[in-house]
Amino acid sequence: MVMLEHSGQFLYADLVSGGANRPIWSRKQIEQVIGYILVAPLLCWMLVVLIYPIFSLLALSLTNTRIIGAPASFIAAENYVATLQSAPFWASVARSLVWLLGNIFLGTVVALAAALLLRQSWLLARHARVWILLPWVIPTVAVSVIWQWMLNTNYGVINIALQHLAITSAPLNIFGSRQLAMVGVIVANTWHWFPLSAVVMFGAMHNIPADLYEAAQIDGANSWQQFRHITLPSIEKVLFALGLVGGLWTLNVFDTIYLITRGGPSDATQTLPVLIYDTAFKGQRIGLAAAMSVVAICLLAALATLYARIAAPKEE
Amino acid sequence: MSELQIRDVHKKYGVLEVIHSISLDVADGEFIALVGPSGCGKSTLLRLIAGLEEITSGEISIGGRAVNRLAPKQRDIAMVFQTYALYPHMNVEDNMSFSLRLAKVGEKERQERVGKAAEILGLQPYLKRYPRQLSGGQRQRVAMGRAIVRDPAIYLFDEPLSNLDSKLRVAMRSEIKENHQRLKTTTVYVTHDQIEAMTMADRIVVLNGGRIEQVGAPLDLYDKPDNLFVASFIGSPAMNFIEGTIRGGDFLAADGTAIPVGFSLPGDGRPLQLGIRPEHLRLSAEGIALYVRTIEPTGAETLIHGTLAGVPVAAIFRERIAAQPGQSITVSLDVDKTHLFDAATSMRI
Repeated sequence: MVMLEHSGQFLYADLVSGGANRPIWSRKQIEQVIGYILVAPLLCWMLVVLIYPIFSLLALSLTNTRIIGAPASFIAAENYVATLQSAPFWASVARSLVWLLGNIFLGTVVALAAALLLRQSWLLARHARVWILLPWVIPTVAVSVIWQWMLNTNYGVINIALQHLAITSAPLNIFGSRQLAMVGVIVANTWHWFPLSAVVMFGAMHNIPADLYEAAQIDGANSWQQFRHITLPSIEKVLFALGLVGGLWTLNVFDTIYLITRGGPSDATQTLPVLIYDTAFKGQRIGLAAAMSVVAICLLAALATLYARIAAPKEE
Repeated sequence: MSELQIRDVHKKYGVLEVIHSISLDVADGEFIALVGPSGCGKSTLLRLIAGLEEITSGEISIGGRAVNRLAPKQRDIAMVFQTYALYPHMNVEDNMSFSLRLAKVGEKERQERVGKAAEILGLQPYLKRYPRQLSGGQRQRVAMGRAIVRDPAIYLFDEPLSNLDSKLRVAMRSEIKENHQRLKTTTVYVTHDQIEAMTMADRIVVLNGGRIEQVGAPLDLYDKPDNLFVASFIGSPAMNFIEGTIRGGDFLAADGTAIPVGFSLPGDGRPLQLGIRPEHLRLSAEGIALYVRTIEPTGAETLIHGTLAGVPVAAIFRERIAAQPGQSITVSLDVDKTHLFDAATSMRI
């Protein structure tokens, strides 16, 4: 801002100088006020969509609310005690961990393989980069229908393929089996989300200078050694970020599981979000579900912190 | 023995031929520089030697062994890249020992070889640092160290100094030369900077459009360029050229100026190019007028850009000249140092 000599008009310079060279606000104070004014809309929005719901959730978790709007009374930490003593709750925590690890492992492997494939040829990359995004843009409802059909016991193509390839002798009832249902939903969810990770990884790989690979070739590195010593360390930060964001995202997935298995068979795919939904809307115990949600938030925060401590790339 | 032989090598990308029948012998321990303008094929030729590109036809052999079909790692070469290509997540020691670890060399020997190379290059204090913690010159030295530890048959340098500032470039130039004198390993060095080539190489290969224009010792190329391209490429400021013909002991320039050369040629009258280097023009009381456009005194000498016989020329004088732009001075040509080229074929006469 510059000092302006312009009588009869409000000028920023006047505010600084008090109009007669008397300072009212320092430049720093004015910049602070402008800063607050600029972030105020975002703060208000955060208050409405984040802070208020969290406090509401905390308030709900201390009551015996069964249905929203119905009269309820304050029961202190009873819901929390019930949550922490609940075997189904801890079973769903364990299933959530299986769900998380399964998705992270399969998703990373498939996305990494797709990204490496894209990098092999610019022609493939040019065309496939668009097509590979298709599963990602398909609505979750459609994904659920597709995978219910693909893995169907009687007419699912995967079951037919498995039998033709003599991998199985009889059709597998994947979503009807306590052992296989979790695998089925993990495969469906990975198929839905791997394109996003693959494109991000491909972008990170694209930025690795080609002469690093050439230097490694001359140094005697084979393809695996080039991947191990150049590609992986170069995309380490991207993998870490994808693991963190993707992990939290995956743990919160409700729609894919609920649309395919509704948490079954016999709760075999009942992860935390599904259990909380069932408790709130099927069991009509919203207070208890709120307490479970608060505990889930704490567990997620602890898990994210642990992951960041263990897996964060070292700053050299 | 680690001599390099290139026999009738061609390289095509689809229908585009970028290397045309190149043959070259590099003796064991020789330092050879490939020079030429951008796109002349010098880096491509180096990459063909390294095995980073496949030759379309011909043969490349190192130490008498054909290496055409061998992977880069099997060719017993080491390469220093323009960008240094240091592994960013490895420290200096790991960068230098990477090839040895891949070759499963024992830890003790690895440490010895890295230590020796680090000592030669003055890198010992930096062994635990990462590339991004080093200056350009230090990175360049690490790249050289990475090559030295491998003790290869041939060193390949791809414009290794072009990312450095001019002062560091001069320092690194003599460092590379010193290392070559110490190690006596066959070296192929690509550069677009002819001063680098002139000062470092035993022989220079001048490339143009994927073909070799001339191969020779630096001063041979400077004193006896085979053709107009080499004459104009080697030397800074570049050689001056005046179009004209020889008539009765004079070179008659296109604008009618007669320049006495004191010899005649069979078949006088054919179109020629007379070449004269800037330092071979002399101030004289009688001679040809040089109209001064700009004057650049550097202390040790004076560089004048101007017009002589109707063509733009550069002239370097040891004397300090008081002339101003717009004025003219009289100069004569050092006739023994002039070069004549056939204007039709561009070849030296």
